[in-house]
Amino acid sequence: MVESHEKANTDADPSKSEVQSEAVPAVEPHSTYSLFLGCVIPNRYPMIESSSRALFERLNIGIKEMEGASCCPAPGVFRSVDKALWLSLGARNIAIAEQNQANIVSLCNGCYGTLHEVNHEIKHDSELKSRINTILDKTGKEFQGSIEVKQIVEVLYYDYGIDNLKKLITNPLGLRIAVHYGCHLLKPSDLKPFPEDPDDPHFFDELVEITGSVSVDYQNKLMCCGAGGSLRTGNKPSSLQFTLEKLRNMRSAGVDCIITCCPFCQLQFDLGQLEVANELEPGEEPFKIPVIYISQLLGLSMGMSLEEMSMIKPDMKGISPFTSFDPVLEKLARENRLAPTGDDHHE
Amino acid sequence: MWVIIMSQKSRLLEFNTDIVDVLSIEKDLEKIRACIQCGACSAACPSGNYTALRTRNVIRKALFGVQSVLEDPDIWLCSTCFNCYEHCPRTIPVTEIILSLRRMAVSQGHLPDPLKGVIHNLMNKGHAVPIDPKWSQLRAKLGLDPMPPTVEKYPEALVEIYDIFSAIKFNSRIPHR
Amino acid sequence: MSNDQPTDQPTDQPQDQSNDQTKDLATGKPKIGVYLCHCGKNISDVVDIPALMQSTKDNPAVTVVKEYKFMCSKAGQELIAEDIRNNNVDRVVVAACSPLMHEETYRRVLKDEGVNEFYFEQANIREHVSWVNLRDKKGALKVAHDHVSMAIAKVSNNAPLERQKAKVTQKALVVGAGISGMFAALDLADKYPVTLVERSPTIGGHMAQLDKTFPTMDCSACIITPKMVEVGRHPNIELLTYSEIEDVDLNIGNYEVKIRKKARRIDHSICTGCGACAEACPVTIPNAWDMNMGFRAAAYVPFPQAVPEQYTIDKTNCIECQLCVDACEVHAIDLAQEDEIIERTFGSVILTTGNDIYDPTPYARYGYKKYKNVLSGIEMERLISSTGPTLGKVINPHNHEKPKKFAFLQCVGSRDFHEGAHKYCSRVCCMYAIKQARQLKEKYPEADISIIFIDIRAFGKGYEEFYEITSREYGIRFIRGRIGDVFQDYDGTLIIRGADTLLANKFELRVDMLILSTALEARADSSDLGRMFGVQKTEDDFFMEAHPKLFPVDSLTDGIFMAGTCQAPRDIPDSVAQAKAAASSAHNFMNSGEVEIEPYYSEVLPGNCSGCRSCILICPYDAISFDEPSQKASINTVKCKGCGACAAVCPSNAIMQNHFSRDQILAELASLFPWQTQPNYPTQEGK
Ligand code: SF4
Ligand code: SF4
Repeated sequence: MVESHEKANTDADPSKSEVQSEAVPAVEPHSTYSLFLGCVIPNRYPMIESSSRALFERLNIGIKEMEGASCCPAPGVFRSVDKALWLSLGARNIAIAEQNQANIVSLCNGCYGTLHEVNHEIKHDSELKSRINTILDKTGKEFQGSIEVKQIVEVLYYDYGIDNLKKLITNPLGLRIAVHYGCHLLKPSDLKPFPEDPDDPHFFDELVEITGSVSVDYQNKLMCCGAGGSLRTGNKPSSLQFTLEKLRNMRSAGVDCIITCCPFCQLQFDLGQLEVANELEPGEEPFKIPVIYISQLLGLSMGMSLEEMSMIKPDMKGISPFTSFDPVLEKLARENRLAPTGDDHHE
Repeated sequence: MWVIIMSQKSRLLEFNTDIVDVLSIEKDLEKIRACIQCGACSAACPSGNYTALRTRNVIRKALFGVQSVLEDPDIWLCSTCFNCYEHCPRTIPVTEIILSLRRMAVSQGHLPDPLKGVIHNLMNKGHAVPIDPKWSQLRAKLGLDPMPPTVEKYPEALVEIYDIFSAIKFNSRIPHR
Repeated sequence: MSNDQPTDQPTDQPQDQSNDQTKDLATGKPKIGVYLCHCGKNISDVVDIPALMQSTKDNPAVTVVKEYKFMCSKAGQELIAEDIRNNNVDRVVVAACSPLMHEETYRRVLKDEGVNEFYFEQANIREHVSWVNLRDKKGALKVAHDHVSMAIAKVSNNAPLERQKAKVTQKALVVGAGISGMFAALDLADKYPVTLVERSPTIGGHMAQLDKTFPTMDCSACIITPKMVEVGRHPNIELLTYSEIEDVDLNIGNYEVKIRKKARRIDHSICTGCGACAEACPVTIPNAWDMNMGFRAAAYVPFPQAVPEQYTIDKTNCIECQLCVDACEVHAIDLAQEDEIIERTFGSVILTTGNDIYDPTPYARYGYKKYKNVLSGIEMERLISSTGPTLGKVINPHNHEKPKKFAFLQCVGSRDFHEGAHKYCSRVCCMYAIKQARQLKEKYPEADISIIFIDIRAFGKGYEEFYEITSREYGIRFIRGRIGDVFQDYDGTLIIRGADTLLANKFELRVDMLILSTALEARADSSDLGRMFGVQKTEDDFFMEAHPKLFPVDSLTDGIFMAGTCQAPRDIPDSVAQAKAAASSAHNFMNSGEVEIEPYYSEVLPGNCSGCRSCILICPYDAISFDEPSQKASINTVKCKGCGACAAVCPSNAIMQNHFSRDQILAELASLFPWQTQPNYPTQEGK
């Protein structure tokens, strides 16, 4: 493995890559967003955070930190327990972004689901708004209803613009990709501001396809990963049944990797591949499909390095990703599609 | 066998509107009354492929006040994918109704054990999934601040979370221990 | 007297005939009788009738107030007639149901007693009060009182009017030559000349596309083709196919209609229907009549039994290669032929423009368009039909093999409250799916067929029996439930996941073909036609009848009728029954030779008119013209529908609308806001 990487790097034609990096169009400073991290991203999948920060920087998308933000709170667990808690913690997070005077970008479908719906519900109910602000009173924060909550795919595809992104692609990746949308990106569709049909969406597929990859239409593609609604927390065996079916469908469609836009779906597919091991039919191959976050894929296709995209796993035990990136990295290296890096990162 | 049946109390259902009356307080949830029991929700529900969750039955039980809907584990098998809502020809917010039934169940003391830990994390740390030294180290290795700029990094922000919990009287309202 | 003890006997409590009353009579002031109807309990259960009686009596303008259980009954009408005869009542207010129901009834009472029928007002305290205020009796009483006061104020200011009469042209127009239009035309043609306009090159409509019909399983072609021929040959029917309505002048009883006869580019007086042109034509395009599953040339007849049998060259697809010109032995082809505009006047019109079929593409979840072996019901019909693209051999469009397993999904686009779908039940899909399933079983006894339904609606004559036989003798699996996901396996098989609601279980079916039983819907372009004929639409986009029960084939415009699926989804027996009803209504309308026109029309008060022409621009019925010599607007009272738009827009207060004059309306308002002094608008005096 290691060898193939080094080989890839040495094989790469340095002159070619220089031409490429010069050909990158200068990007106008783009709008600024409040970056909402949530829990799973900073505390379990920091590679999503680091690669997204790097990508935003590359795209000149400004980031304001949401200092002191909490759990969104998670739509499955807390909304199932107490609506007042769910609404008021969500409102507090939104209030932080309002102080930033910048719309929220969420890297997670769950956080997006919560914050988007909390925002919508309170904005459209003035009585609720004053009740929530009474609860927030002591925190010194106030929900005003002055901003929008967006998801990273939405920001990239609609705000930044897919056509602008296309101009930045330098390293077509040629991967066969299983796109997993995740439920709360699309549904409930009547609340979502973009015109995607939840039974036949396109924008995420288009986004991965600009990287020179193919979004493979696998069976039951739009099915849920199984993690949400506190199902993973409360009943992991059932939740993994969803995952197993999806993994099987992805494998039989012959994909190189899974692309997600949500850390919880990511966790479910990544750690899930190990967790379903006991559920496999006799003789069924264990799963080894790399699960990659959308910013990592885009970054690679824009010639950003594996380090920048946090795709080189530090030498630690029990950390994400739990399913190795290697099969994809090997393929990319073999086909000489990665940007060269200055130093040798593998010892 | 028949002896056992005979010795049981009557198995006849008695219908009431107890659950529906509570549901109807929330916006749009009164639409449950328009359910035609078509089964589009159950058909679209991925959970039902592997579990005992039959969305349509949940709706019917709730509609007719069958108390077991709050006690059985079924409502906790939903992954909140919203397929049922998208498919319902009467545009009944089925997922919202399930979440509302869960809250009703919780207030009656039926909070599933595994959720308790997550609730305590949120109460004490502000995160459902808090950080620990291992993950902090990983952050550092990826070039990030070892502490994310969330409540983890700002202890004064955590106080705000406590304030909210007490402002909504969470402890006295929600049986969660 | 109280609500609890409904009075069956009319109570007669005229206000005491004080000196005031006599004085009124002496001064010629109107004597107003007010009659409150209980409508059984429809009104009296909500509106406190005794209290309303009292407050009405307190109105100084009123002479007599009475109440009765059913004012529209013979006894109720007699109550009014008696007061006119004996108490000299000369103006009448009835507080009851909507005037749409009974205005005519009460007007007739006045007329019979020699009082001008426009000295009548009806206060609607049922639809507008009791039915919509069931839970607020106090509020209902107040609103009822307001309605009655307004009607009293209005009737005090009413003027006697005379109905105009117009001659009715003794000719009928039928628009749309499907099964409904054909029957309507045939029924009328025995007495009146009929022009039958059809926009496609052939008559027959959707029914001609069907293979067999439920519940008798008789072949559709065998029933309809002879009728088509009869229509084509009928000496009293002028058949204009490939023609569309271009413009209509809505003169009641004398509708002036422009019809565009599209260029067929083949001279039909010469064409023998030999088909040489079609054979010569090198163009191949999908045949819409076969739901695009078969092909035709640019020179074509949609199907062999088409009426008329002559060919048409469709302009959009013709490449002008002239091959057909050489091939036609009788020299019938004229590629330069132009559209022709035909003008006719008709006494009555029947709209039978039919329906469109719902396109299930928006339901991405069912895989229509994505998978070739997912078909709509009408596509299955063409596939199964002996005149279809495969001559009745059912093949799997995915792999062109013989399919063995089928599933039908009901209610696609019907009974669905999402935007773009339809809330109504389409009424025919259950039966056509059962029929198609049975046909498949007849052709292929080994076929495995599931019908997935919400409810089976088998309400017509013989339908339930048809359902029973089909399930019992043919072994078709009826699954009460719905499906969620449809996806295709690598061999093309469709994998369907659904829920059986009766077993309360989820199921997985693997089928070769899935048929979506799609809804019937209103014609996408029916709005234009509706506007031209002044026909309104219901929320579901179908044409609206004047009253669903009392005037089921009438429009709100006299002399214009409707039948078939342009009005609502319905099956063949209902469409034919309605077509015959519409024909008979049209006959009745024309038969008297004359039509009475409501005198609600507007008139120009020339003294006030400044000639600004605002009214001409706003009139939706094109009823106002400009009189050059006098430089004033002038209204054609027959065309005027009395909508009042001109009266409202006129800046010079120069338009007076009969029965809704400014003074009458202001008097109504003044009764509603008695604390307001009468607003100081200029009145409309002296024409
Ligand atoms: S889909 Fe809607 S109408 Fe049908 S059973 Fe479910 S909740 Fe009821
Ligand atoms: S939201 Fe829950 S109940 Fe509805 S379809 Fe998804 S898993 Fe099933």
